[in-house]
Amino acid sequence: MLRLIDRRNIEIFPELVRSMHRDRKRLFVDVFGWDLAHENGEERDEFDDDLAAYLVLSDELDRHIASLRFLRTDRPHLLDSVFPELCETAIPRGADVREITRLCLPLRKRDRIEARNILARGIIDYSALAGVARYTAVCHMAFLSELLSAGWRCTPLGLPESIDGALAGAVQIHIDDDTPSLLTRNWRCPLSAPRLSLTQSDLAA
Amino acid sequence: MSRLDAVQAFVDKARSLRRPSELRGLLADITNEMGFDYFALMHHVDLSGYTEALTHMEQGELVALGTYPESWIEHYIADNIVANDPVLLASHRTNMGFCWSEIPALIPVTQAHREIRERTIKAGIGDGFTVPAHVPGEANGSCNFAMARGRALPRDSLKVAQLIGGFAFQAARAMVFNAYPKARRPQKGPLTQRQLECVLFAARGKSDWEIGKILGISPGTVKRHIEDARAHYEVGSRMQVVMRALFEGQIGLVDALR
Repeated sequence: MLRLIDRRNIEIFPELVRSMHRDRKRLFVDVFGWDLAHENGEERDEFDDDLAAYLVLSDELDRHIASLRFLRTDRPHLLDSVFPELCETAIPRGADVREITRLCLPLRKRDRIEARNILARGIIDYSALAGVARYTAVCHMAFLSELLSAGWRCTPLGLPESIDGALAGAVQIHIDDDTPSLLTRNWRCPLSAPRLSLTQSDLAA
Repeated sequence: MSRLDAVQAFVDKARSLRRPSELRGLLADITNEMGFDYFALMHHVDLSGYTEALTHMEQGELVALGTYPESWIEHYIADNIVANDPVLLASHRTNMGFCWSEIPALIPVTQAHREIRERTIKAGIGDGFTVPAHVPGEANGSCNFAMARGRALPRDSLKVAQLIGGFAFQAARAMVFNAYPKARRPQKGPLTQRQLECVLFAARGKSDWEIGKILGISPGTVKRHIEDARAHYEVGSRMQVVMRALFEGQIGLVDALR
């Protein structure tokens, strides 16, 4: 399943949400070595609050496979509160701008690409449903070529800086009319891949 | 114009270009603005299809364009230096931009590598900064910015170069893929694990008999696996099988050379 999880339905999937926080701790803290707070094997921060929304891909037992977090940009978010130095121009904000954070993918290469593509299609579907025209993100330079390979229009918001020993930079992803078709061509999903389910989320209401 | 404005202008312009020669011009300009002397933007594959007119890109074969001295490009291709270039091998070990002086920290440098470096310097190319451009499932690539012999790297441009390299490679990659998108689609799925193993060892120069010994199968079976891989890709020779597997990213140059 690919679910949109927000304040409306987060109580319905407690196990799934916990497994997401566990995988986030394993990937970001144990594998990537990022300096993030964690507790009881779960990574969460002050932005995992009522107004955060998540795209969560789960397996047949509804365990977490991959996820990302959307933060509103009209209130405190990563680029605004933690990494303002990455943004040389005004930080893009507004009702039609979301920040993508905590992209958590499986480590195995094949699973990783499939999950990545499904999440990316979820981002496109979410854009249409929630009226999002642009996304901002803090992108590690090691991931830049891969991010751009999706074909979507990206622009840098500042020069990269060293964070936890690796260069990272702020980027903006524009959702244009041709973005869905570009993504379908570059980051293909298998026919059986799940589409975004809004079950009991804010957007379904 | 601030340096970020220059990068943003490059990104917007590069995306709108359709011809590889225009991209070469645009990238040559910003290379000089950043304080570098040369650039080479390339897939790390057999470069024998390269032409100065960049028809290989218009025909959707591979990314390869730059401003290195033409005589060096000729030698580079004729002697197949791409297969053992320490700069490119080092770029397979990282996803981050690096100065060429850092290469010994990334790969074991052999005598052959030192000789290649000597030849590069003789050809007029001294120091450099390489931005790896690895897209999972595809051939490795890189954007290389280099200095004329004896000139120092523009240290304060390296962060800009990191961004420019990434965006430039995507612009070139999109041109190649749009030119012939069907060629990029593995219609029949990947090779089997056994076929891949045989192709990998063939790429390392092993004979069917040697591959059979390594994998514990008969030379006839090895031959059949490679034949099947050849038929799968609909190509004529074992060499082409290796190149296709390299291009699709099923094997890397590092795998082939280790």
